[in-house]
Amino acid sequence: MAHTDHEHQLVHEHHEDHHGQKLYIIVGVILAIITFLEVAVALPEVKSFLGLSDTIVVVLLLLMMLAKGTLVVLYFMHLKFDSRFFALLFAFPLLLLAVPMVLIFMVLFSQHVGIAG
Amino acid sequence: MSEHATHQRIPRSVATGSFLEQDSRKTAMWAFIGSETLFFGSLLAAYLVYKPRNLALGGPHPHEVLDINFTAVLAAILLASSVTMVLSIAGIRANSQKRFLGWLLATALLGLCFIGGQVIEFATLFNETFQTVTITHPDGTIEKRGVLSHELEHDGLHAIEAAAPAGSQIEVDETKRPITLDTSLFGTTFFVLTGFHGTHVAIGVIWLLSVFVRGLRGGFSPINYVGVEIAGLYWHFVDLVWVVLFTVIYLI
Amino acid sequence: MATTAVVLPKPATPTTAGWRTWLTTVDHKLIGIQYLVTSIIFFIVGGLEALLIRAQLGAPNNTLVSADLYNQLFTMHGTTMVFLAIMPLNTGLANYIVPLMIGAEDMAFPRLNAFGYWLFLFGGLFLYLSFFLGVAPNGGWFAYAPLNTCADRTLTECVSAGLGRGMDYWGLGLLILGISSLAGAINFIVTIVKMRAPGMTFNRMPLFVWATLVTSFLLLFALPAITVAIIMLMFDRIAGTHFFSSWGLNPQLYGDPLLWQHLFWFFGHPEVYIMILPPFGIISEILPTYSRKPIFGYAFIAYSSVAIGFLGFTVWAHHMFAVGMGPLANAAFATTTMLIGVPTGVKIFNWIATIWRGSVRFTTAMLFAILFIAMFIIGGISGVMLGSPPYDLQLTDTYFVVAHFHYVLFGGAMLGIFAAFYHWFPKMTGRIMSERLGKWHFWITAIGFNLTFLPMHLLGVLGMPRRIYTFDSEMGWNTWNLVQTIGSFLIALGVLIFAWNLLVSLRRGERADANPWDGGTLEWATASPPPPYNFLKHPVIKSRYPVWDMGSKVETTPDDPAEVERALAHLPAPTIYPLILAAGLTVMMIGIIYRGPWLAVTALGLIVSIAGMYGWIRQISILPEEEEEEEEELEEVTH
Repeated sequence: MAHTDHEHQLVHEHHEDHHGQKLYIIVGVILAIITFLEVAVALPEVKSFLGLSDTIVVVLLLLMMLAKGTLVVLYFMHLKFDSRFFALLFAFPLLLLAVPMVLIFMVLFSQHVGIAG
Repeated sequence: MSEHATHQRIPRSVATGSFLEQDSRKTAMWAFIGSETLFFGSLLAAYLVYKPRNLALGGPHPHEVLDINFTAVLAAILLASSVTMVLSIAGIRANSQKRFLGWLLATALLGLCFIGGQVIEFATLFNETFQTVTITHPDGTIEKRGVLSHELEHDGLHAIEAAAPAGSQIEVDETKRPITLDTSLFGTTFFVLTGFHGTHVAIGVIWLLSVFVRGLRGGFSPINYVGVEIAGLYWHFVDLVWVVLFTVIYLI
Repeated sequence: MATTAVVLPKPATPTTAGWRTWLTTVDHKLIGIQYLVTSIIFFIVGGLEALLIRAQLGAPNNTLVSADLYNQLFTMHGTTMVFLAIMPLNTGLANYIVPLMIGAEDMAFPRLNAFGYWLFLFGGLFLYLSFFLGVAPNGGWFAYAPLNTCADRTLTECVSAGLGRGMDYWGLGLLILGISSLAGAINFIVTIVKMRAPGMTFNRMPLFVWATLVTSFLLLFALPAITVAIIMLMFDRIAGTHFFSSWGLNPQLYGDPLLWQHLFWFFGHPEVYIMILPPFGIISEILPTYSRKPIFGYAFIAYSSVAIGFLGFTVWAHHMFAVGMGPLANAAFATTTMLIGVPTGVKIFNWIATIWRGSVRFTTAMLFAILFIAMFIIGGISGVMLGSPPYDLQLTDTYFVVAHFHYVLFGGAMLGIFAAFYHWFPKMTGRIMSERLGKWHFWITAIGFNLTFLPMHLLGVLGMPRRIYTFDSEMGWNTWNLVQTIGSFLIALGVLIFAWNLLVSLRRGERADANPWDGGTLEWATASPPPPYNFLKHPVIKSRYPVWDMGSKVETTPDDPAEVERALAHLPAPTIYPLILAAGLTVMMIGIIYRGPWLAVTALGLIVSIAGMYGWIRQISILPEEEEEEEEELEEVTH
């Protein structure tokens, strides 16, 4: 019983693998395109040509960063197909501790009226 | 003890499947990665907290001293290494030792290229010098700017004079300071942050090479490749950190 | 695989293990005992430092110790008690008990476990090396900037004056201990999540296991902050960076001493819960056992640990109300601080409800557990008082704060750990600790503790600042200081009795059977002390108290020899490499402190580390075709 299950799993993985390779390359290409866009948007010439304000550029850059990071985590680190517990081990400290920590530190060290006042 | 009241001892691999099917080494790796997010978070917090103060004290502006095009190539290299890494794992899964080892070696080599690029970047910065320009506005406010010496020699103060309000007094500090750890808050935070990322890449390369050596001796198979997988997880995480650093330090 | 070729680890118990076993063991039980013994010794050393402090403060204008030695004493007292006593005592107990409680044969990574212990031992010795060289750290256990960079002098001036190496020892020592804790935390998480016996769902896990799990997550996520802070500190000290340098040193270029405080307390506050959560877990095991009643409100206790764990990350700046963060920030951190009192209060009510109408046996363990609740309530309430900014601004850096955290860490954590010793000593050694000596220990500690620390509240309100090495007789603090000093020597007497009890009971204590206290959790279902493989069989887990399910009767019939042999063969072999790797890493740090030609020492340490790591990896990654070869080698060695 266990033996056949195991074989089944192997075959299944083998099948998935061809699928996977193509997927990985597609993800890689998307990552390259986003990186190219990131650098382009950050160029002063492009910024002024498109008439983008600094704030919009920062927001765009952060969104693209988020997209890239998500792709790497979901596909390359297999989080999309792997245990939910792994997602918890990663997302909890990142989203609930590290990111808030960085933001709170930035607020605490700013000279913002009402905070430091 | 009666049979139904006790539980016969089961080999660990089966008994431990009560919650997770995955290898415990993978769980450990993810826990470690979770911890690392706070490691880099703390370093990044220091960089961001000191960024405005660096400018206020006349330190060099990141955008003026960092070569974005060069770093974009580095970012591309590291992203490419993530693709090769994941192809290597696909290789061992499909029982192709050739693909597994080939892509793995490619990953390690790309990692080495990245480290080489970072060495070049650091060396360029060390050789660069900057000077602090103090601009006293007519209303008495004092603004400081860090300007690269060679740009100052090349363009003079035209750009700064044009940007400052009329009637400002402009003073140039003659001491040329190299861009190193101890000459500005930018240097302090930038080198420690990116340096620690580089250290992680270096450890990753050593790890990948040791996996490669073990792979050469037939250490991995389609049913036993967790060793490759956790090295891959680490490698992707290091890449992920660079995705963030690239945007936050170089682009924004 | 021929079974004859497998080296069977000798079933070693604490009393039969030879010195070679102690160096190479990967058995969680022996490592747990190593942790406990080492950290009890560090606890006694830290206690001696406290006695010197108290002796100095016993009378006004005392000249027993100099101001500088006093600084070294309170720095090392704090550092020792936090990092070398309470934390490893908790780790040691968890190491021994957790795998037994969840029915596992060992930790998930036994070699990593040994590595963690050796790093802890070497890290502790490394810290104390500074004492023998006369340069003990003197910047406080919190090491605020600029105290950590040598006060008002530049580092170069400092080092040329022969001062200031102490904080290098402190920083690098803590880095070593940090790696040790991180290794332990990951190990506990994987062990608890993946190696529980079939049937033991999360909601059937003993509460001590819950506490250890949450503590491990706290360590996992809190340690990076202090690691980064120490790395920055070392860069400041070695490479002249400006992370924590202040405006006063160089108005042209300066960082911010407050960054140190924020990073330190981002670690430091979760650290408080790292020290107190395991004793919460201990109490939650002891109270049901001696009240003969399941714990009241299991889910509340379990999930309030999780809530405390998370909220623990949001309160760090309440240690910094007085630094001028501004009213909004102070108010925000005060709010989270009040909030974290809620899940803690929930636990206290649950514990009291557990004792209520139970058939209580007042053993020493139970007495300590009850005292724990009482003392912790005082510490918790004074904590909430200090969590209020206006109150804190009056009392910060006075003895009131010292009183508060001693009520939490001694009245809380240490009393819980004492209770744990009386409760689990029979499991670890097969002998029961003397109840007569235990009662003496209890009463003397209860009286001494309150004599020492209760007056501190008063002195704080009277304005006596912390960390002063002496005071004038006109200040009106004389009487209470004398009372405290007398109290502290009573505590010392209590600890002496405890240590004597440990030694005497180890040899002559009453024999314990598998379940001397009629406990309900799984560790009581195996022999005392347990065999190396822990269990051959254990009860099916159908509830939170599986041993109570089987009528509490634990038969220790000899196991089938063939099965025993199979179980032993399944255990990982002893190894020396974790010890070598830990030693190498520690030696590396020594070179970093002195630099210059001493970097050769670092290189040596690096070589030793690489050798250790190579041996370790080679040992675990023996390839199939090499295995026989290796086995032959092993056979030759053993014959």
